[in-house]
Amino acid sequence: MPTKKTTAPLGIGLDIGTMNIVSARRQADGSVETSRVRDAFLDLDSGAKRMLKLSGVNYIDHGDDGIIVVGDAAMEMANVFGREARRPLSQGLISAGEMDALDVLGVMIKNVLGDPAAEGEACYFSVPASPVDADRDVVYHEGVFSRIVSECGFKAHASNEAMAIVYAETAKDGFSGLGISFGSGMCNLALAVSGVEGLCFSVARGGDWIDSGAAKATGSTRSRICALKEKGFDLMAPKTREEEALALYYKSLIVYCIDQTAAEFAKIKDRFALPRPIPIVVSGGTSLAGNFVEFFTEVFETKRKRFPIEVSEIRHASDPLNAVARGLLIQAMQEHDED
Amino acid sequence: MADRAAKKAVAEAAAQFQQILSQVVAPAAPAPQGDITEAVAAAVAQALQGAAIAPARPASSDIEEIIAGGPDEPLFIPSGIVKDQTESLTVSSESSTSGGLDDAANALKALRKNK
Repeated sequence: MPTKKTTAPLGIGLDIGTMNIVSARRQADGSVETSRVRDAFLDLDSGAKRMLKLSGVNYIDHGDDGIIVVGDAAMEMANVFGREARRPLSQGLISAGEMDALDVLGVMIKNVLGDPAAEGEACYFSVPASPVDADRDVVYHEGVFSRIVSECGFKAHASNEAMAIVYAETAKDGFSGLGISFGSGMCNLALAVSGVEGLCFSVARGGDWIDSGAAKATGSTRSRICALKEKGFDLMAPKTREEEALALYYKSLIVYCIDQTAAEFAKIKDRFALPRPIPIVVSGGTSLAGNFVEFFTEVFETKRKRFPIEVSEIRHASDPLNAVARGLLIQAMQEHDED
Repeated sequence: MADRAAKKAVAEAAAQFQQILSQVVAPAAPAPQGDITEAVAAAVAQALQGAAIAPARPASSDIEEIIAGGPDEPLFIPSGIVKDQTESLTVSSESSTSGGLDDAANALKALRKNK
């Protein structure tokens, strides 16, 4: 396995999401480099090869079986050909039997990770917690990505997605807080006190669920709603009927996460003490909607009285799209710390 | 008179019935001697001689359980997912300041040391 010699600290974080795959690595100059690829692909006939070459789009050639366009280009090509891009992950997890998706994931992860800087360099990759509202296999998911990361030449370490937010964003709170990753396929939540994980779970609802619900409610399409959402709109002041529907589903998702947290905390409250109020840190692509934190706070205030955890503040992660990868990087760097 | 004739007819019919049964039914099991349970088992075994026994079909929920696999079932993860020659993709990269990453790493290190 080739290695890329560097004087930068060793270790790399890898966030594997339904919408994006992001890696984070320290550079020799002290900065952090993040690399991202859209977690989507599109299979086309071999006839499209010429057009793709002319437009400079990268693709995977499968000979007579056609070609596969990967990443952002897959989304663009899907619009050109009037098709839906395929997603290797569904609701945050890969399903057993998705053999096409495995090959594509191998190529995408190899590209965002690059070569290891040293033999056995640590790579912490994100794994969602088991969903409380769906029967999904997290064990297979973890096994597949552990295999892919190892085959890329790294020492693979699986780590909880929401705990990575706690590591990246709550150092000043003594690594105590409730981290919420509002992803595309699911939402992941982790409660920690002094770095000790007390509660970890996920719900099988996220940005995709919001898009579907708002599309159904307004007679629109999911891709149109998704495009509208990504273009940016203000949750606190929706202007169109579609934006109003989006705001309604956002509210419903936030209420659902708060209620599920209360229900899950009730199961552990007798054996997990919270000595002082803790912050809630929200992150993830779905949290990028305009005024998300203000909107979340407004919804939370209607629930605060009955919420079993004392909350000091609600804040956004400093880098919501990369917070998980950065939290994983912090853990990976510790593996190479000789002190 | 009629009564006697009826009784005679019943007796003749019973005799004929016995004769038919002796030709159709398998020979009787030996008379029970000793443990009654063993005797019943022997009789049942003799009665079932030559019969093909099919296992009961599992209920649909059992089938799902078999497909889903139990905790001891091996988990198949294919190897060779990442090929030696991998296509090069356009990856969007950006550099940012460490933004408290070092402080967080040091604080986490200290926390773990103290534990």
